Amino acid sequence: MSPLRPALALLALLAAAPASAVVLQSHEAALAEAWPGAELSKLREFLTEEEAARVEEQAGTALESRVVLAWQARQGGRLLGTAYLDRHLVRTLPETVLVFVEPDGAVKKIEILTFDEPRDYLPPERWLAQFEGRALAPELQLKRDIRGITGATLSGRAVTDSVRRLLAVHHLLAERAGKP
Amino acid sequence: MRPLAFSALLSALALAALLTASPARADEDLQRRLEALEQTITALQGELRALRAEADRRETESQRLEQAVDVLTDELESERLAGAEDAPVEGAAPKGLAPAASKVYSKSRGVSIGGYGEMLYQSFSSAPDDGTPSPKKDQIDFLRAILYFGYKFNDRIVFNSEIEFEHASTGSGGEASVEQAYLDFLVREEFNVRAGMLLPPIGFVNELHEPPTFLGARRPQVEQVVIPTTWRENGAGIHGEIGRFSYRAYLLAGLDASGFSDSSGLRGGRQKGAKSLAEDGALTFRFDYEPIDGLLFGVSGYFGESGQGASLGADTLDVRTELLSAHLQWRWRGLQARALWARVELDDVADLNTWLGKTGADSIGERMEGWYAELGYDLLAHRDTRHELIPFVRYEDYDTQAEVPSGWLRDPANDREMLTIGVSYKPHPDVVIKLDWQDESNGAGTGQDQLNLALGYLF
Repeated sequence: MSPLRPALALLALLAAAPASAVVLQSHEAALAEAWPGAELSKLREFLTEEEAARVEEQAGTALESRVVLAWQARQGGRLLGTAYLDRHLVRTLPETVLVFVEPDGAVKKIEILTFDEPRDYLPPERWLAQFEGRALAPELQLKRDIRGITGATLSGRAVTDSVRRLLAVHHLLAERAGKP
Repeated sequence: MRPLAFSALLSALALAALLTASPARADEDLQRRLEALEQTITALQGELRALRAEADRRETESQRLEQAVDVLTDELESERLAGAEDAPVEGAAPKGLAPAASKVYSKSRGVSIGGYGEMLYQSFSSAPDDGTPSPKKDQIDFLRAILYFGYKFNDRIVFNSEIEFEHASTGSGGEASVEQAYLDFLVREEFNVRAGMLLPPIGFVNELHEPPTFLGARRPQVEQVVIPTTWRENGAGIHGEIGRFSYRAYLLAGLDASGFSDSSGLRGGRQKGAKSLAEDGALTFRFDYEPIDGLLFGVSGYFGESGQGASLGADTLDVRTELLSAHLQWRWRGLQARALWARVELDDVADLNTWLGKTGADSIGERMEGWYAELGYDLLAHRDTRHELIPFVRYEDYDTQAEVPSGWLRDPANDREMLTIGVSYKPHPDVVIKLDWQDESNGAGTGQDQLNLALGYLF
């Protein structure tokens, strides 16, 4: 038998395989996993130009949009946390990220919902885990407390920037609500 | 409405007083006042209706605006979710699989474009170490202008390519080459298939050669003459990641030994995927392990034959070719360090020398060996800026004739050491300006120092 035959058979199999889900996970699944059984409500906030400028200064990175889209989870009326939705470019293609923030302003966890760059550049979950429990601070940066991703500097930067601006937004909204 | 209501009340009270005070003139007055009162009430009713209508209109308007904001933010949400809302809801990642193993990458299809480039100015010292006059002239070259084109057919089949223009113009000694062009058949994170023109996954720079990703205006010499970067060849193979391990393994057309040389090693033997002779093939592989984020070490290698059908008398020249390399990279805060070692061993070199007519010290090395280590530190890592300023030092030691067959000689000029001291400045992570000084020395005293200034970018 020609040594090519198994390889060709494999390729044929791959080409015939139906394309499965086009995203990494749904936001509903991510929210349900983060806060099982909690009541979820949508949070929509609009930042003034002045507020956006403050967020950008605090985050040290540009804001993608002045419309804040998030979900708040409550149990028995008590706020469990807020999950902010952010979409931004990694290199030339975008990713969608959910950043879960505790009521005290610390990161609960980060979930990547969609990622259009090649999979080689997808930040591993173990890398994302280093943000857990961290609040917005000058040390929350690459080359400081945040380790880079080997071979995917830009992916690391994109997520770090996203976390920084969403934490700054969270801080601003908390200030607005009168509980800094 | 309040003053009106109040005046109506006053009128009613006055009317009551009048009725009790003078019953005689009361009828006439009463009639007049009743009429006035009726008019007032009618006016009041009209005003009330108008106010109600206005309130209703405002309520409707406000509801409409609220709905519009909802629709807009829903649309924005949907756009920002970029399809994530369509994923199966029950799909928390299946337990027991590595988390990312359940993930299929990317939604979008179609074309992607990227690229990188570098311009290099080299200024040579007036004379080599031995003081003889130098024929080398200072030069500024648009070394590389590269474009990446990719196309995603579907979530399982992805095309990627790298088209290179070297030295700016084919009319002035430059080249236009395909450096990579392959199809990736994505099966699962642990196992994928790749076929086309591939980069042997050896060392650091052969696969990752965008200027902002390495220190120094010029690529490390060990990764030029011992590992012949940029090395590409046609073939097929597999790659994947298992937790903190990753691997690649390809079968490729072999090198062509007729191009090997004493000072450039395997470099001239690259067939570059252009009508590559495929009488002999090779296996190339890489294993990487990243025990903690930022610390990576691994090995890579190449095993094959490079004779490509050449024969000396009745003997076919196999020219068994083995390259083995080990690498280590560490990044921690502002610090970045790399070390690499590589060794090439060739068989049938005496016959190859005879076949190629090489005599004396022109012998191809039976063994070639080299290593380098470099260390850089970003001075701005803890400053309130996104710029990077990385002074660095690199030391290299390599010899393309570490061993030659008996009957031939080693040229001491091929036993080289290179010290590079310089600085990389990145105003943006994808843009770099590099300045360095290189002290080259060799066993023959013909090493020549040089100053380099480079501009690099990637997008």
